[in-house]
Amino acid sequence: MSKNAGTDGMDLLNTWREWFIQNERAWSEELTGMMKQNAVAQTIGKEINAALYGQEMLTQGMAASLAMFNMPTRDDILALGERLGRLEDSVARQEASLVRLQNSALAGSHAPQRTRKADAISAEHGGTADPNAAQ
Amino acid sequence: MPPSSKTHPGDNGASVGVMDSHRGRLAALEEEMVRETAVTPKELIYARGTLRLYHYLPQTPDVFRIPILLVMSLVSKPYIFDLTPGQSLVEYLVRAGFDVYLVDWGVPRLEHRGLGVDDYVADLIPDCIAKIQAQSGVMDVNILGYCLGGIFATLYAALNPTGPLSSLLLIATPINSLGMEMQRKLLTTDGLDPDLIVDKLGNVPPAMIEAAFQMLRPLQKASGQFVLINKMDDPAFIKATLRISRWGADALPFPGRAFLQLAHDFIMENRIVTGDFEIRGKKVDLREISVPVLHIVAQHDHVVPSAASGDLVRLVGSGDKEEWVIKGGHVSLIAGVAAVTKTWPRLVSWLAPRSI
Repeated sequence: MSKNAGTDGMDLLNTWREWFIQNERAWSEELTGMMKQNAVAQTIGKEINAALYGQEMLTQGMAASLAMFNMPTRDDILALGERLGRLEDSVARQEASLVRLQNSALAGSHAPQRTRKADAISAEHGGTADPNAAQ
Repeated sequence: MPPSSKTHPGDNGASVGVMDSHRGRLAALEEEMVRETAVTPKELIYARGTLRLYHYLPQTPDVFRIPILLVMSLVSKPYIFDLTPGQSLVEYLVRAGFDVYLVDWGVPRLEHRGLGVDDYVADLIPDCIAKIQAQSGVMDVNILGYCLGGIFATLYAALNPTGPLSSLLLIATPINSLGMEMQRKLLTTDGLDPDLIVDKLGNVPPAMIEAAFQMLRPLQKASGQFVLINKMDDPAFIKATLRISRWGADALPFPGRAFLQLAHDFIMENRIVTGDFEIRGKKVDLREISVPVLHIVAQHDHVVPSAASGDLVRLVGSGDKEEWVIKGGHVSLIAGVAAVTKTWPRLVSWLAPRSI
């Protein structure tokens, strides 16, 4: 019995989720319509502005406490990310140089000819240039 | 009394077990997806700062003469172009015999907050094109731009009417900010201060970008989760859906200066349409574009609504220009199932005669 009850519960949830999915677009449009009202858009914008000041104050406030416990601050972590990013860039430049060296050593011997014609597409892909074909 | 987990503790235990099992399967799927993403063979031919220029290795005995450069938005990762085998625009183009290059703008760091739209349009894109010319030995190039990448490609085309551009292919590219109501409202109602964001943070963080996208369709994420739960027995569907939602959540920081230029000059003042948008002191006139232009837009695009994208083809000066309206949304346009079976074959048929 408990198994049936569980399955029924799942079915009900499935049905509820399906109902939500079917109506989501309309509800989202209602919500965005509301957010597009001047007063609402202005309030959202001001909330974001306030959150920026809040985050700045929090970051500054935390920095002293973290330093006291000899722990890295947000700025320390960001600086580490910046250094890692620069290392990645440097490795990528080396990789690109090696690829260019390899390609120039092969002197284009492995490159395919640039002779392909448009009719190769219709022959191989069955494509069509008619813009209404897929409508 | 209706059945509930409180009245049937045994059932509660069973459902927890089911949820654990679902979580385990999702984690395994996630690992598989990572392995299967962006796997079309490529080589890195140029790196500058965070920029990477990739060349996809040809897979046909011969290729079309003119190479194509794919230009992605700044705030999304370019692997949407090469999502997974069978669902990859790059793979499709390479197999059709195109010589494909892709510019990955990378993840900007605080030191890149000074990068502006002019740097991308007047410096980085031309630099990539020069590298492609050197690699391919061909002076002409086609460009495909997606979303914000499409704006950059359009601005580049307008600034270089006698340049190497052979044709311009745009996907879901906003051009008329009057059609981007939500963004305009946020920025023009004396609420959100874009300068404050850049002043405090340097670059606009990815979480803020993702939140901005979610505001455009607030309940879509919840709906997506429910779709997944209801389709747990269909791993192929789950993977296809998760791939796209994973990409959507994988936003990039927006370089501060570029964000400000677009917020002020594009969104608030609509300068691309009025002809007053400036790149390094030169006004951009879309009527200068004379190469063939194709713009593919989605019928139900909540990110770039047709009111924002629909004027592009009208504004460019080209004689050979088309707009295709495809059923679907902003992302399904480029990586959905219908894209694979319908949009890409048509796209390739348009591009092929313009690539010889």
